[in-house]
Amino acid sequence: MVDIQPANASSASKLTWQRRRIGFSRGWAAFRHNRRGMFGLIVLVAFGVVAVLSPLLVSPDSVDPSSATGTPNSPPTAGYPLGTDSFGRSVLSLLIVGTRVSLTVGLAATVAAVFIGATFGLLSGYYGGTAVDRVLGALIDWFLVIPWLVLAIVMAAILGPTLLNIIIVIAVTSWALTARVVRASTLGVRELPFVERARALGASDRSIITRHVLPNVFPVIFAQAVLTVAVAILSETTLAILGLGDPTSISWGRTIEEAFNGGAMTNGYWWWIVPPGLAVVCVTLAFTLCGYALEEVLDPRLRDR
Amino acid sequence: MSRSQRLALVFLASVLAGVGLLAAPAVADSASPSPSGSTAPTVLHVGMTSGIENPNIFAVASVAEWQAIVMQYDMLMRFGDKDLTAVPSLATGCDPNADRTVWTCHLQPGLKWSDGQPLTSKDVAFSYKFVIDKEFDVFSGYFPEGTTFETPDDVTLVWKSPTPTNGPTVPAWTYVVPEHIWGKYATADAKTIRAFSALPTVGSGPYMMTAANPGQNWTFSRNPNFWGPKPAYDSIEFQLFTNQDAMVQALKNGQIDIADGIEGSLLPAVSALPNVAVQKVVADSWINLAFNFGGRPTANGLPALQDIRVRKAIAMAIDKQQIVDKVYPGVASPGDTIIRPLSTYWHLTVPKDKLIPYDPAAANAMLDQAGYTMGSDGVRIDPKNGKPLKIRLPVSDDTQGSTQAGQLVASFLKKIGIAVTVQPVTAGKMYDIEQAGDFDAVIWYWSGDPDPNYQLSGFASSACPGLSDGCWKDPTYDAMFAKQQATLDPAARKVIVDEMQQYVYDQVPNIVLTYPETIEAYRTDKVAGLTAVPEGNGYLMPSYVYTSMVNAHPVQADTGTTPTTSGSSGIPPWVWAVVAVVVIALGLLLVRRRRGEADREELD
Repeated sequence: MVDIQPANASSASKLTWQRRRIGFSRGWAAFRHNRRGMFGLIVLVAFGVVAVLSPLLVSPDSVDPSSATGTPNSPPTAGYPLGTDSFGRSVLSLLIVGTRVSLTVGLAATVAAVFIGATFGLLSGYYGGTAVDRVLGALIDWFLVIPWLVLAIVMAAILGPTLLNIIIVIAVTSWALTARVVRASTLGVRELPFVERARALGASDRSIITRHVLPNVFPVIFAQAVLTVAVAILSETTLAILGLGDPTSISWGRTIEEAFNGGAMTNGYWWWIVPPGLAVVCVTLAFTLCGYALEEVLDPRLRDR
Repeated sequence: MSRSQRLALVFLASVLAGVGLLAAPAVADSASPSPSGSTAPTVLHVGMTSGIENPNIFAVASVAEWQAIVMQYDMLMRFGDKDLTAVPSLATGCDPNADRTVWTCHLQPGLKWSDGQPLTSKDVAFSYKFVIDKEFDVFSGYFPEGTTFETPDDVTLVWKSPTPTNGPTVPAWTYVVPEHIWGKYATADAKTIRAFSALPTVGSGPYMMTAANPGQNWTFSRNPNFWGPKPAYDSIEFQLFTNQDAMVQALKNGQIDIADGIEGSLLPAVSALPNVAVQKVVADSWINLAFNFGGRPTANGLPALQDIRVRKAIAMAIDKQQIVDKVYPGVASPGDTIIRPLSTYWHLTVPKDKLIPYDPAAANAMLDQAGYTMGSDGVRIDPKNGKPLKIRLPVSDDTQGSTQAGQLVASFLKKIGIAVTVQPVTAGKMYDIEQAGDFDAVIWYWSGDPDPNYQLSGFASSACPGLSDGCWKDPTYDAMFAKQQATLDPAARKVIVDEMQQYVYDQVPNIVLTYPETIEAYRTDKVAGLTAVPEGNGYLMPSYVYTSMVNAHPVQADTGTTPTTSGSSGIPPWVWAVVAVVVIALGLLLVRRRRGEADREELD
């Protein structure tokens, strides 16, 4: 390790933080001018607020199958702005409660997926060309080429339908793309002069990866994470529609599945099936827009000229 | 994958998840009805929700397989069209001796199998011995232990039982199969016999299976040697629908003439279809909530459920009427006893003063008094072992409405401090779970003969392991079961059967949640002559007998005009418009985005 005086260290870290702060505000300024990104962000904040406040907005009784008092399968009325499902529950309440589950699963799965993806990508990239890279690269390729839906269905069926298992399934099936992108970035970063300098000063691989490579590929990881959330939420919905969701929880996908089983399609109960579908579309799109806006901000080559 | 491709993929997928689903029935709409010329062979198209895995009669399991068997084979005496009591079939009648231990049955002369071979009393004797020897318990329960058969001539069968029996006139729900086909399996084991599969099948019924596309459709052609009246249709085709909505669309478009096993939730849509008649078949099954009493070597049920106070509290906490209203609206009635209403004579309606009332407050009080104190998490604790009252509840998702019923049960029991985890599983998995005893309670269904014996046998100690759900064992019940078996006089037997139903209801080894009706629908402009068995609100499909299939005939089309409405899948057009606008707007946004990206890629 490099021996540094405490006083210097403190001022060096102060400098670093200052630099980061400047970098962040510059990035934010660029992001703010990206209309699509801001649109996505606003939508996300709105959904986030609903998710956080959902316990205040909806009483547990109104989404309890036996306590709900609405007329089953009723179209929108003043008391039930989005109508009711077959249990007589307000679809709006289901939508609000579902926001929380859908976002939680999406975010949790993303954190796990990006952690796995970034770790493998960093190692594979940093040791590019070595045996480590070949083994990890093969693993990444393997996960990239197997059809994710088939793998997800098999895993979900074996593990059983609980929220945690759904998160695991989504994480396992969606980390590979992140790994690939991070690996590519790492390959570029490790050739930069400051990495060579650190190595010349005797820094260990671990220290180089965590202190020099990671901070430089972090923007890529972050943008990738935002994009992964979209895929994760979509995956959760897909699995739930296929009947592999947690039957004890209320999510958008589960609501669509219940509507489907409840004959909503044939009977024309559109109020039961369209709102959760549109909610998924909106959130997925919002995350995607944010993700691309971030990529633009962080990658100067993509920025509008 | 490039970024733009990935973007397009995410977009496409989200559209699929949100909206694409809605388009499915609309696509099905555009399919044209099958043409039917006057010279072309007449085919009755039947939509089914279950398939036929194996045409082998001894491998019968699914609803479609049962109906296939009913069309292809004959019983000695069959279920009557009017009320399912025994009427002549292959036999013109059976006469008992004074103590009903020897029955002499007279076959019609000149009977032939579909392949032209003569059908004689030897085939009957062979079939009966075969199911007894091979222990095919679906068919063998009608023969008291030690029953033998003699065939003095080709048209006479003598049925000798060591104990008095009404066997032939129950009627014995077992089919006569050709000895010249099955005789070679006389020494084979049950597994080998079940694996046998050959087409066309050989039987004596009106239609024989001649072609099978597993997972899609099955063709039954008219049997030229059928002994009854000549059926009108040249063939009957079963078509499998794994999706209920698709089946209803097919009925609407005229691709199928009859739809069998429609879910209650689709009743409003089906009832609204033009030229479609709906048959609500009187409840022939019951949705059952059964508790695990252990008794199987690997059983691991919750011990608290052995306490009748807990089971009674559960029964009091469940509002059966609400289950009917929310899960089976208009197509079921609340359940009470283990013999379903279809067996009109035997079904006991529990008298008002003996009903367990829906009363969650009393249920809570009862559990408090029994010492099951409420834990801090709202789940009661068993005072004997400190275990929380948590119930694993596998539900058979092949059984209509059982998942939703499970969700309601979970919600009801939460209010009396019992936590329930609903686990939807397939029927096959459910069988494994029950046989392993790996559950606390289950929701599945029961069905059986018009005669109550089979149904009652499922609760006797002898049914464990085997038919029994949770291995409830009760000597009082067993004694009554043996008594009703030995009682031949219907009125005297009815008294015992009523007592047994009341006893099971009081002991709560299970809770009969509802009696759901089966829904069939057919095109009145295409098919006529369908006959409900039993009369009135019975099955149009061959569930007990093939009468309806023999009587069915095509409606003579005057002009051949088939209503070809399209595009209306029940979702109002303006909803489509709104969805389309939103999706197009989002799409445009992305296209613009992609174009910008492409420009930049060029710049790079």
